[in-house]
Amino acid sequence: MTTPNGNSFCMEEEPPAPSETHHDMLGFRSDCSQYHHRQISIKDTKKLRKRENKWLKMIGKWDRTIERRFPLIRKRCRKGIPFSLRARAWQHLCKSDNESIRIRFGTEENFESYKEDKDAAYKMYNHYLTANTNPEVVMEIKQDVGRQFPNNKLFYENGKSNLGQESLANVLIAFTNARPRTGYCQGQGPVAAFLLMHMPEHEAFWTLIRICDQYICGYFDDGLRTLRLDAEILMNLIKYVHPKASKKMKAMDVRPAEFMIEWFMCLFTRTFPWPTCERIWDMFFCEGVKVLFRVALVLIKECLPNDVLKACTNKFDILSKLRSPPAKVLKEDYLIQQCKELPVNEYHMEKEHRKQLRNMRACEVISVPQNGDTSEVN
Amino acid sequence: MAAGPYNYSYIFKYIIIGDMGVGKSCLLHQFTEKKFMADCPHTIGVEFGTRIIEVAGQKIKLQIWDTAGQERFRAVTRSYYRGAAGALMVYDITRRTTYNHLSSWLTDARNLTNPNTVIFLIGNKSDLDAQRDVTYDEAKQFAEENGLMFLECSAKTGENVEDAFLDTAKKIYKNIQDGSLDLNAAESGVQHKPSNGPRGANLGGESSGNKDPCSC
Repeated sequence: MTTPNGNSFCMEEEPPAPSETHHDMLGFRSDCSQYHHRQISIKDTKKLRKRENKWLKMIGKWDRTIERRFPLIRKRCRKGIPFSLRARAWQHLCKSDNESIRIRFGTEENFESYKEDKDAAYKMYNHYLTANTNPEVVMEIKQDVGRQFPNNKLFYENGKSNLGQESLANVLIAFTNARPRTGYCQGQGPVAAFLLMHMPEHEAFWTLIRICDQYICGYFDDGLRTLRLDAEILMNLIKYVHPKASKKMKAMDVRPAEFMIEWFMCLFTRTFPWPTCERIWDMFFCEGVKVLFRVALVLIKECLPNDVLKACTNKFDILSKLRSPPAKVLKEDYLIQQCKELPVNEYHMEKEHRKQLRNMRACEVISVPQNGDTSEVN
Repeated sequence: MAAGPYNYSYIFKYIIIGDMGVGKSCLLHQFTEKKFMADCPHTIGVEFGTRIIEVAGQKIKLQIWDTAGQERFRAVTRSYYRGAAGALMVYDITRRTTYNHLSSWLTDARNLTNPNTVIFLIGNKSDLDAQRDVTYDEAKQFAEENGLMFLECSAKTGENVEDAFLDTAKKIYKNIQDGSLDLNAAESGVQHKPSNGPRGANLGGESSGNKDPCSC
């Protein structure tokens, strides 16, 4: 209960006053389920400071560290990035920081003039934001931003919409202009909103671009082909983790698309409390999409222990269980530990990936004459 | 949760379809919770709801699948149609485009469900009469031409929401009674459960105590 002196990490909060609305450090209202009040002891604060120093050093010589000491970064990401450095670390990990943007995009013909510009990332964002956008898409986006995390102060305060809604609309509009082939998908909303809880608008935009280009490439594309492929891969990985569940789910014709779309598309922002979600993202930015599979497999395992599984008499029972994970798996430390212990490795994942890709292509070859869409088959 | 699985005699599977933002999730929420959810987040993939209702003295459990409305989700939401006994097709009376897209939703509903699936057309947001963009009469005519049941509802006030869900169930039940819906057919969207309740009348001659009677 003692307040550590000179705490600059905004980790310490006063307990909420009973009568008025209080918000946690990420802006969630005290009366909503996502609210997470955190009290940090002095011992923890010391540990945190140490960790922050390590991260500061690492960020200071980032290129060298990522090149030579990736296992160290991975280990530290698994332990959790300190809150105060999280946004910066995420941007470094996914290369959405200004320097990378300038190097990467400054050489494209449209952006030659930004090549030497220190504010390249910001200016290029504005370029996309002010480009002509299909008014129908703008309407879709504006209609959706009002329904994004209504319990968070960034988006709603005292029952009124707040600044975050405009930022969110901006990020999504700029995204559709920057990636017209993908366009707007409702799944981008929660991801962009969660980014905005951590960083300013143009940084959130570039991070979203990197997530979509590099991590979950194709998830939001029309037809959701990549997501459907990953759905099949996930379904087939269950057998390594929980063979009984795998068997029963197949017997009851549970389709992966019936439970995993929200998990994967929203990068678990709608599934876990935000501290857990941040830890998942720490690993995700470092290790990539396989983290999503690991988390999903742990969820399935924890939602369907043998006794629960036995009591499920139909597919609807199973799906309902998968939608309400038990409290313990929502806690970050337990979840991360379980992810580490999972008996699934990269070999399994890659094997299933190849297999499901073959299956999917075979199906597409058969169905091509019907829909005439050959562009995706190659 | 502890309510025994056999406290009802039938399970009907419903799906709710329609454009994004027409109020599908709010209708579901109003029906299952009897409350209007103002800040309803958009559905990504699918959501579920259940409620036990009573039709002609029979307890029926409705399993309601609420789908994502955005066009690009159709590639995955199509798989949810299978084995639906009822389909609630929703448009927003204040946005004409949502009404104009009904024929494409209807095509999906017809193609992906069985011929006996009851399709119920709902014009939602009837509380916003001042902003009306689709008249009652033309929607009624569209419904009649296509053999659909029809009501205008408001997920906000709750007006007619109950009726839409219940009328669909009554029609399905009637189809069972007059034999036009074959319970044993695959994907009928209806499961018959042996009932231990006081009304334990087993209508069909199905064997009791079936394990895994999943037909959906």
